[in-house]
Amino acid sequence: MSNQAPPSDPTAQSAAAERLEQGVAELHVPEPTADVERALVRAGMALPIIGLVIVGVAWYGASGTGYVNDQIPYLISGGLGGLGLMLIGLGLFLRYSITHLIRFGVARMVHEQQAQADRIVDAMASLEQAIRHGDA
Amino acid sequence: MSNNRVVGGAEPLLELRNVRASYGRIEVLHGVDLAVPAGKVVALLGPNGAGKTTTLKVGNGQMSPDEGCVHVSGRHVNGVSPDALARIGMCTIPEGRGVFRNLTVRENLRMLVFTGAGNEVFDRAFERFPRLRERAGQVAGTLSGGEQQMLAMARGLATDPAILLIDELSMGLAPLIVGELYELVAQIAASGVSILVVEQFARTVLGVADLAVVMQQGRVVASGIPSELEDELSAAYLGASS
Repeated sequence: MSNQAPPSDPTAQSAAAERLEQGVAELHVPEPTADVERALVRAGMALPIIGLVIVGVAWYGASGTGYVNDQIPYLISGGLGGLGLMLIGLGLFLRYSITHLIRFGVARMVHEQQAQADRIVDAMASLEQAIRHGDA
Repeated sequence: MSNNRVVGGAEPLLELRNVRASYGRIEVLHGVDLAVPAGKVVALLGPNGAGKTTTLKVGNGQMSPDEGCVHVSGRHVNGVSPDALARIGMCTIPEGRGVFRNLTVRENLRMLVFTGAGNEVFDRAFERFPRLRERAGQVAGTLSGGEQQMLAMARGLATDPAILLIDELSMGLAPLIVGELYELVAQIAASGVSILVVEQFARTVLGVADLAVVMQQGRVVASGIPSELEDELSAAYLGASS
């Protein structure tokens, strides 16, 4: 077998390594919990709109006939179905957006408490130093 | 030699941390630590059934670990698809060569063009493997085993990878051909590509490896520079306690 490898090209390889690093930074790494929550928040925004459209269509259909027997299917399928979708969507949106808000709030609280503790420790250290100087 | 030690000092391009993986309910990797530093050749050795190929599959995204982390260039990439990793520069040459046997050499290389690579793949491949230029119109299935392995390597290298994962390069090939292929691996490594070679026949790869990792029964039993691993290798292959 006759083989001849081309001469080394460190520039090309550093370019490949850079491309890898850049590509890795842009990769979407699946995070099952976060991905599902994001999808549910989107569903929570979309469902009330769909429900509203269905209620509108049902109203338009029901208003086009004077017979109660014809209006009842619109009321049940359109009115109640649309209302159900709106409630489910609103529930999902509130559930997952509130979760997000609470997480953010807790993280902020922890950070603030940490900063507060650091300030207290610094103040105590200053006091200790002042007392020592006073003794001396 | 410490078990499950991460080899390599600098930021590795590919790193597995405490990886556990299973086929169905049967766990085959029991906490594997492995690192491929930039520009190094790492040999992953061990007897049949040690978990080498599974480790490679976890590294290239073909399998998701049950526990532990896979890091590429310092970023956690568990769950990222193998094609996404291949696109950014992680190339795998699978066991059994992985060429299209009923297509010609040129057609095999042309398949890369559909992945977004330009026509320069032919120049790159033929420059590195002049033998393939002579066989350009030949059906890949009629090439010798060594030439098929070259074609598989040419396809991989034409994508200009930063990390090359090679599974059982020597499988079914004569020792003389294997020696020549490993010379090629050494030349590829000299050009700065980081390489992880899975190999059952340790002697063939130790000459070109900067670091070696010995696996046995789904665990890393030894790691370090090849010259330090003689005893561990004998123990792993012959079944003695190390």
